[in-house]
Amino acid sequence: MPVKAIAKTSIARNGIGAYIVPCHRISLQYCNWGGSSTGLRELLKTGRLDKLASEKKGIFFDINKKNGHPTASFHYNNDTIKTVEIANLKPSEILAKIDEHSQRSGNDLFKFNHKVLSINDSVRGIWSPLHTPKSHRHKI
Amino acid sequence: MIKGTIHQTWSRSLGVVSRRSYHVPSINKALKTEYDTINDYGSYKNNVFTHRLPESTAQQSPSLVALHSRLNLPSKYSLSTLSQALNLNINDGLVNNFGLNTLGKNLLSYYVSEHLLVKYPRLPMPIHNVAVDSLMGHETLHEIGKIWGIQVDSSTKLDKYLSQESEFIKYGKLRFLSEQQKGEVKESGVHELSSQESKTKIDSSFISDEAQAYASAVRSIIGGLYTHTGEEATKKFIQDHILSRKLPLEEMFQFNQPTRELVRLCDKLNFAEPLEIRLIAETGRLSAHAIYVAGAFCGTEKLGEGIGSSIAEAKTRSVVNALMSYYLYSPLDSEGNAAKVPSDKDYKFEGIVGLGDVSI
Amino acid sequence: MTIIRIGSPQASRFLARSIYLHKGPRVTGLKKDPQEAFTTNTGYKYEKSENNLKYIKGFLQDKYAISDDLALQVLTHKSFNNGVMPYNEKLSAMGSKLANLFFAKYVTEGSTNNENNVNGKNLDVLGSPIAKELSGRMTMGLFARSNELNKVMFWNSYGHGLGFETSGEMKVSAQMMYALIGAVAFSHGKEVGEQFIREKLLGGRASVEDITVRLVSGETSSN
Repeated sequence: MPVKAIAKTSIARNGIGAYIVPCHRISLQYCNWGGSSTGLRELLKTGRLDKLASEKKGIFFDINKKNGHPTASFHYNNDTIKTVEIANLKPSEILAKIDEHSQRSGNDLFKFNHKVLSINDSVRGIWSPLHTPKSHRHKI
Repeated sequence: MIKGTIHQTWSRSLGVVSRRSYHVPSINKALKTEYDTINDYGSYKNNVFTHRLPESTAQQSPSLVALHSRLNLPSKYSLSTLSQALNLNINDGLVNNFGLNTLGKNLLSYYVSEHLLVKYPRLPMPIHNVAVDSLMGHETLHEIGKIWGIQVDSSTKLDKYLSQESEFIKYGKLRFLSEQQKGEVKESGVHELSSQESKTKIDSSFISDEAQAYASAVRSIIGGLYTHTGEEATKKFIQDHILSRKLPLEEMFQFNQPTRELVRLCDKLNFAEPLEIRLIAETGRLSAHAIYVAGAFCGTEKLGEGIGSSIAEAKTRSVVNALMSYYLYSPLDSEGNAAKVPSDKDYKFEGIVGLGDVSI
Repeated sequence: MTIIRIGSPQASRFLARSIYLHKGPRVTGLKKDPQEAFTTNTGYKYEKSENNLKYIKGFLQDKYAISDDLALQVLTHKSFNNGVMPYNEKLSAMGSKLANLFFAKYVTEGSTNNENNVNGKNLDVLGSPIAKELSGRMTMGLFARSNELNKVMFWNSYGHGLGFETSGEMKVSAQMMYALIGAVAFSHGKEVGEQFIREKLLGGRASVEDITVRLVSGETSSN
């Protein structure tokens, strides 16, 4: 055999070609009695959540009634579930939380202090001191 | 009745003396297929399935509707077909995704092969096959299925009853586990191989049933897109979701005897002058960390160049570089764009056809 | 026994050497005489001659014509002379995929009375033996033989005298057929490639469909 092959899987590039929202499911949990769920109950009553759900068609919303503080769980396509406390929040603040987390990728946030983050090779290539003419090379 | 092998008399009538007879697949008895005549394709019916999911039921499944719009599928694509694409079960009466899967597989293999054959016409066949797998193998399709947010229906009927889950939700989930498999208690860190999984086991790796099921669902969704919207839209979908992925081709090569291979290649290409590997530059042999630059030349043409910390390394790298730049060549059309593939509109043959690999 | 000098005048600076070229049975380490290596066991010499290409050219006619270089490549199998000449592997990779796709579409395109159809397409037929075998190797091999397309093929077998299947002729003929489809698709585009399958493979006197029906239902055709 002249050349052998090494199996590798291709790398997803969401947004090149097609874009799939990473958050596919949002579970909201509220309590019918507790005061900390007032904001979420308000949202459910006024139908503002229905409107949000119809705007974000690709996300499956499910609402559970359970005792305790209300929570919002975001299910992402990298198998992570992020649970956010929404106790004692105003309806608009809850909507802002949902809006923010539904746009996340599910990966942890990290500090990045460089200009470019890329999986591609540099287009310029790597500078080599050995490819300049002899007369221009660095002399020790 | 259908026989698994060619009948002897028939073989003789054609003048064939067959010793190792060709295996013709036999019909899958489990499907209880009925048909009028063998090539009356419209008459085939698998009686194991009783019905398709009614559209009205499918519309009530929030997970299915969400998947439909997450994938940006056209409204022509019916929810019942999408639900069928997610069903691998054979025994619950609902039509499963077998046909859609086959259709999707054929579409995918054509468009993926076409893309690779035109874009990288000189890829050696082993690399080509691995590249096809890299784009549409079960591992990749499993990943794509996950990215699409497809969930496995893993809760038993009892679980569903207890959690008061709507019965429609499962129609938007991937159904491949039997009721018994769902009920099995799982120990974390331990996975019992199913009979199907143990067949695929090589060393410590195996193809999980889940990966197979995801892959099948992704292929079926593509097949379903073809049945509802035709081939042009399917091609676009494949381009957007599959061919847009980054293919790490340069990491797929493993050379055993690169210099010998390059010599054979030059031979095959009828290069008049012999291959020579020459030293281009060096930092000096007595320098603290000597670096050499070697080039693979054919006459005055430089085929490749490599840097190494010894002459042998630099030479090998230069040869590998020459081989890679030959194998990964990608043709352009007269306007400088990537060459068109045969399924494109106004296709004109401007690329090249691979000549075949060299043997050592 | 001949001793000749090889190498073009321009390259002679490098390549002037005397080599013994061996004829007859293979001896390890000896270079084969190209004259002999480039001739098939049936006596056809590897070249772009009218004699070699007439069968597939006649089959393709002007409508699906391909260049002579491509035609010769279609006829050359990897096994011929150690794969030194351009061979048909890549062409048949394209052709087999196109054939599979075409026949999957072909069996589902007709009308159906199956109420489990998907948007009018009966997908239940796809797993059946006939749907699988329409683009199968045996069908393609037999088709190539009945249309005399495999009269001239450049390939090597470990036993040319063995049967159609055992010698590998069936496989090589099938690969040549796929390569032919692939070459038409490469030269004229996918649409013409599919039209070619429909017109030439399904429309002719011994159509692929008839061959497959006989193959799949073995005994019914034996009487």
